[in-house]
Amino acid sequence: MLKYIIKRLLLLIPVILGVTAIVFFIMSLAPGDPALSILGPDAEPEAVEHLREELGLNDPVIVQYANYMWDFIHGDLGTSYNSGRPVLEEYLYFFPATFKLAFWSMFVAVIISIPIGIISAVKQYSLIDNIGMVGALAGLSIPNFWLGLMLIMVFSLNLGILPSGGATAPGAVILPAITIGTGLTATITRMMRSSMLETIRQDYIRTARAKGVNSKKVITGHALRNALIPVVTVICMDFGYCLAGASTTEIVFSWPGIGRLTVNAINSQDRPLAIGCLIMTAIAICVSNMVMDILYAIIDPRIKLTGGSK
Amino acid sequence: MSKKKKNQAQSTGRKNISKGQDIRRRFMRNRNSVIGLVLTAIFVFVALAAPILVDYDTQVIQQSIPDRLLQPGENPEHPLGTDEIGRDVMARLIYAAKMSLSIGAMSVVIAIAIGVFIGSVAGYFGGKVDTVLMRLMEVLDGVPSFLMALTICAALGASVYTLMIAIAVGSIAAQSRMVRSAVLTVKNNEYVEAAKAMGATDMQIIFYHIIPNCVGTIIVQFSVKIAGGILSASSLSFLGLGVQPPDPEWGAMLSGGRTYMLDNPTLTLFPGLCIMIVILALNMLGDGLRDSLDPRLKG
Repeated sequence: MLKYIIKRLLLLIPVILGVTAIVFFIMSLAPGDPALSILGPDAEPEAVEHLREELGLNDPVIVQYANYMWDFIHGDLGTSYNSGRPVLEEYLYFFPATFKLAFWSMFVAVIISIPIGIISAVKQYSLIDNIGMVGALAGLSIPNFWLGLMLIMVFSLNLGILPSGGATAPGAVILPAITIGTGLTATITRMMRSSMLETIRQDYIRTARAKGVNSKKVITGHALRNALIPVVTVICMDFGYCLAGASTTEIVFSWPGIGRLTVNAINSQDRPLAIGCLIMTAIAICVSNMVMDILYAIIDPRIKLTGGSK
Repeated sequence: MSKKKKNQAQSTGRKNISKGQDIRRRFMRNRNSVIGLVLTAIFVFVALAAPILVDYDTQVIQQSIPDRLLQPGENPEHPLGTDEIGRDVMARLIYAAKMSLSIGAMSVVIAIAIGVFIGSVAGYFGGKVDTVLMRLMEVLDGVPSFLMALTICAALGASVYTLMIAIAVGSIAAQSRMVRSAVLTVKNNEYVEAAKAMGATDMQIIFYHIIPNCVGTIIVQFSVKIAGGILSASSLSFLGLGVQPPDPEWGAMLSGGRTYMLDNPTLTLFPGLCIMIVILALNMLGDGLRDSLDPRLKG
């Protein structure tokens, strides 16, 4: 197991190198002078030039990249142009809010989708199944930012029972969690249903039924355990993507998370912060995928962790 | 078909139907997929007819401050009301359909073209080529596709064309992987071996024998990915990085209407509904196509 974890962590290196390279070169295409935007339009040309030199902006992109990677190895992701604080510190400051939102969104999704998915599969083509599947399809199709705005309109502006934004007010997490949770619920419900359908057609389920085990126990005891395996994968993967921060939702609800931080950094051409956020996001996703693979091996003894690739 | 054979087919109670007919029959039997097809067709028609239905200069971008923020139904000239600078909401919604659908479709065409190339080369040649290409795709996948699109839009400057490229780049990795796995299942068939024995070059085999046999997978991807493309385009426009004013786009219209949400909720309601219905239609169509083209994948 330890060997596997080390191997997976080593595989992160080319991914990080690649991601930084891609992001670095795309960002370097951006028009505008970061030095000028830091100092403002009235700055003396000499001061701008001095700052450019200091930030290393006069070096060729490849040299800038090498310098960046050198600092990165030493745990230094640079300093944000906007706030003047170290990028890593900035990221870690906003991360808990995103984690909290991801957790509650997933919580909403799991408590709704697993039961509906199971019922839909067990009572295939019933009314509940039809409603559940149409609902899931609709949930997949609603744009997050629109759902968020509609929830604000109903629950904050008209009914006035829940806060419309920020993270400090009590219950502030409810609306954004429902917004993100809706899309997740849709995917997990569909996954749960198809996985359950596949499982209950297996021979051992028929055997259990033939032995006279009551049908509730067959579903919860025999079928569910096996049907959950692919669902857990989807849940972990989606959770990883949630950690990237749901940018539009976070912006609609002014949620102080990574998604909003990243978008603001990209928009304001705060290059170190943007690159830092994207790298940390890539790492977060890789690590959560790794945790998923390990969990996978624990819940399903048939899977052995050998190779590095998925 | 001979008369005897026909009789035989009838007497066993099963018609001899071609694969195409079988697929069509399975597709038409599914209510959801037919609804999806009809809705998609309506949106495509509106998008194509947009320049005829509304006049860009006098209706879509014409500002008229005295008529600003009309409620739907208040003035028969503007059945769905007007926005904050007096532009007709209906005309803008119609024109935005053209924008959204063409951005969605073009981005997917770009992504699939590149994905088909990379995926089929990786899957067909296997070995080192496969490892290198798939590692590259893994790197590309390291950045979530939406953030990748956002970065590209911010760096290259927001425009319709940047938007298409940005969204396409974000889904190349997924496309390639999908085509690769389709190629892997096809490449060991006898007809590929036969083509090889007849002296066909690798590229000939890929383009004439392998890709045509993966068309089913590619078509299904097409409708589902267009939905994703439209969603990304409207999200980016919502953030101000997509379609630029005065051109209308559903996400941008929604963002503009946010300020007036309390008194003019329809300004945010209508564009959102359009996005949702178009995506729902494409998803239903995609599900239906998948089930009828490849019943094994039914989920």
